[in-house]
Amino acid sequence: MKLAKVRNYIRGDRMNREIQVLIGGTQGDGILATGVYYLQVLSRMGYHVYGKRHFTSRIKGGNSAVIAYGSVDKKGCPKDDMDIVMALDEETMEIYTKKLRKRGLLLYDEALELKVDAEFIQEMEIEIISLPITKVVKEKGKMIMKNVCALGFLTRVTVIEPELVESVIVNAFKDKGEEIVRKNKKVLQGAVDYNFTSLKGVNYLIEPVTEKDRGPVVVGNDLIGLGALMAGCRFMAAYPITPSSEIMQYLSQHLPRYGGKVVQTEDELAAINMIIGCSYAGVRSMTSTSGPGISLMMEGLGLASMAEVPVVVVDAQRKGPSTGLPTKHEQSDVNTLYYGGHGEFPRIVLAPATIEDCFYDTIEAFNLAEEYQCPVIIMSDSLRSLSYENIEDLDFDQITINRGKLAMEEDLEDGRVNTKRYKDTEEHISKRVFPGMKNGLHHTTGLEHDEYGFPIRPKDDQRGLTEKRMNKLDPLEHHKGIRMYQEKANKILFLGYGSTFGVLQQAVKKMDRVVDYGAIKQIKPLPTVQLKKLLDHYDTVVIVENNYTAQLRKIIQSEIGYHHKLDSLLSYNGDGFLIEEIKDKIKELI
Amino acid sequence: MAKYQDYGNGIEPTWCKGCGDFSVLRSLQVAAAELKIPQENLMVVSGIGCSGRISGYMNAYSFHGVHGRALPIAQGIKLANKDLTVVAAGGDGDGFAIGAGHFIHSTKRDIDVTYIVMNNQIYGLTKGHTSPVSDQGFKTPSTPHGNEDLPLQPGLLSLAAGATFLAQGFSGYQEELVELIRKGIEHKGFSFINIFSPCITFNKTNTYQWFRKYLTSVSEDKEYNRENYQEAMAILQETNGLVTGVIYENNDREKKKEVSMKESPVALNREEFQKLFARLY
Repeated sequence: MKLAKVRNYIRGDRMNREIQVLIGGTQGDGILATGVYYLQVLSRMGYHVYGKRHFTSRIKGGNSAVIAYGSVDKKGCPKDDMDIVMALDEETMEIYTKKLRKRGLLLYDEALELKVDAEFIQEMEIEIISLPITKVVKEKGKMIMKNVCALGFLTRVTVIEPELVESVIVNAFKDKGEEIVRKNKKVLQGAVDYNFTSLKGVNYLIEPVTEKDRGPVVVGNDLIGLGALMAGCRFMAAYPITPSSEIMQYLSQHLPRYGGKVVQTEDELAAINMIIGCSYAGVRSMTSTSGPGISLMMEGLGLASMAEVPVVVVDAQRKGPSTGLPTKHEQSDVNTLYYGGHGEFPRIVLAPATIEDCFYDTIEAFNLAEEYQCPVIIMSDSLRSLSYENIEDLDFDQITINRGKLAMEEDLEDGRVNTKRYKDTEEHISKRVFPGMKNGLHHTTGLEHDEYGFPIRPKDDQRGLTEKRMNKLDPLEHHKGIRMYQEKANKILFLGYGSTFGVLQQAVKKMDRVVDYGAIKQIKPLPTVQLKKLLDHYDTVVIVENNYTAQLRKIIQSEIGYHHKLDSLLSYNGDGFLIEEIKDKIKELI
Repeated sequence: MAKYQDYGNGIEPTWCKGCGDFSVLRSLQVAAAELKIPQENLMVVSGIGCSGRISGYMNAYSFHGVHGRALPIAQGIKLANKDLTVVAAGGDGDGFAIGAGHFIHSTKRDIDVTYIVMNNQIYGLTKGHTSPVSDQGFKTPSTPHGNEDLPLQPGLLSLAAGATFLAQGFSGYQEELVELIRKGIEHKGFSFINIFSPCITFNKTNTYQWFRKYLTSVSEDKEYNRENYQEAMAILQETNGLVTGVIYENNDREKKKEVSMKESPVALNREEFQKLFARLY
């Protein structure tokens, strides 16, 4: 049946305004690419999209899956169930068929043996269609193009204009030469033109919702990278680690154009110390890592704090202690970021809640680092860093660069190592002096030191500059570090942070907003003034987080009190919350 | 005319009287004076240990980091501002134990930093524990039955890691030391100067007298070609590392483009932003 005929046949009552597909196959098959292309297609049709990866630490082999979600409204998390599961391996059928909604559709490569739970299929009225994916790839191209072939079938089943799909493929392969583009187009065409004899399951017509392209499909890490560039970061030193490496990849690609550089270091110890050096000498610098790297960076964070050198560190949290589950999600570094390291030292911790936050918070991180002359940690998490979303616009006019207190060469007096680099002031922040400046010679050390930077001597007050450092962040406790989306409409408040916010928002909306909700954006220092006001107002405040020990809730309790009002919703299965899980908690409390 | 005194800050070192590090400090100051490096362009970074205090005695910009990390800090500074003369300094524990990874990778990376190791074959600041370059059988409170391991060979390690400049000196031979440091600073790329700097308090084996007895010099062989990698390897093996002079120098390797990120513009305009946004597709 021709596409136009199909459209006419199913238009009307069977039209869909949202769709969620899970595509699964063997790692190395390019499954992720199929999902991303599909998201790009949906984005160009005017949908808001969200893509979530399920992958393992293997390069080839092992199951890999991606959830691609398109909807008319911006969601910030996937739905709990799938409209379509597309299986390119048998494991996908076995693991994910049960995620299908009632009357969902299972598509599978006819080269595979159908492996499903017959009872489930019958009960849920699942439609099953086999597709000649491997056959068409073999006929029209090479096995490496299986992902493009899968995309062709998927867009055919969901009745999307082939020209649109083709334009996404052309864009994806344009840098690889005309020949590659031509071959992939041929495979795509083979799938689209396939003569379906029994497409009774074609009930997934995806109509364009607007003429407007909803923008590029990106992951949070891309926008952290872009934010860093726009913030004037010109140096990154980092060691590759899942799920943070995309930041390094992004900056490696773009920094040279702006006179910057990325150094891939021998380890995270080198990374943090190298950016301390570079920032000390006047360049905005950053590193990115995940839990295992953060453990190694603790001594460096202490040094940066002691020497009052601004650095920005991204921690994209992953599951578990030690190596844990590198490709799974968790928010269990909160304690480490809040308290970690020996001795006591100031630091700022920010948690981007939305994809846009990844951009704006990164710029804010660089400003705060230089304003307060201490480390700023961007606490991301696996889902916040690696989930795909389309982004329509970022506001150039919101970008401000505040470099904090800097000494001018002409203000410096006689330079025989007597510059008070660490002069205590009313706000406890001193002017920074960069090497190379005349008359600015001074010492910098991780030892407790005096205002000149020299180690304190036995006869000196042994507190040194402890109070100067520890008190300088006090103003931040007055910040509105919690972004309230719905306030004082109810007596119960749910607060999420990082990627838990998106799913919390959907749950609250689905529950007709019977509870208030918001996102904790500033983790350290906690916005104590705002928190106290909220805790005064609400009967119950639930902290929604992905860890076992309720880390942030306990920090809030220890800093603010209100033990009887604080409650937790926790999950630590490596996959984030389902909307249903949060709804259950809301139902329990109202 | 610059004087070495111009590079001292008048603070009295905490070192024991007779410590080899005094000679290294003076040699660095003399070399800086000979090279007429403006004080504000001299950056001395050091690690932790007795020798790590050296940066605090220089009239220069000075950064005393944490144990073993002088090299990453120094490289970061040099990348920020190529006009600075960056010298990293530390002890054998700093360089060959806790910071050994950084030593190897700094050598490989070849960023223009001069690395001075004050090698006394012992941990002086912890009151005499064994070091990665202590001799086998060496008795200390942490090895009361004698060090079981063979010492690391810093010179060979450096060559294996791709050194472009390797020199060895001795605190007792100050004139040579000044020249080695000067050449190291002048070398474009990473330069490593391994200095035998006796600990007079805790190391009763590797003393000034011991070094004077056993050290040889590359200058003893008139034919010695310091640009020959094989000869450098051979002389280190033949002398068990006990040789001074410029052991190896390679100025032929293609140098990476020097960056100086401090000069890069911080703010990007709207047009650049739009370009970057478009690249997200």
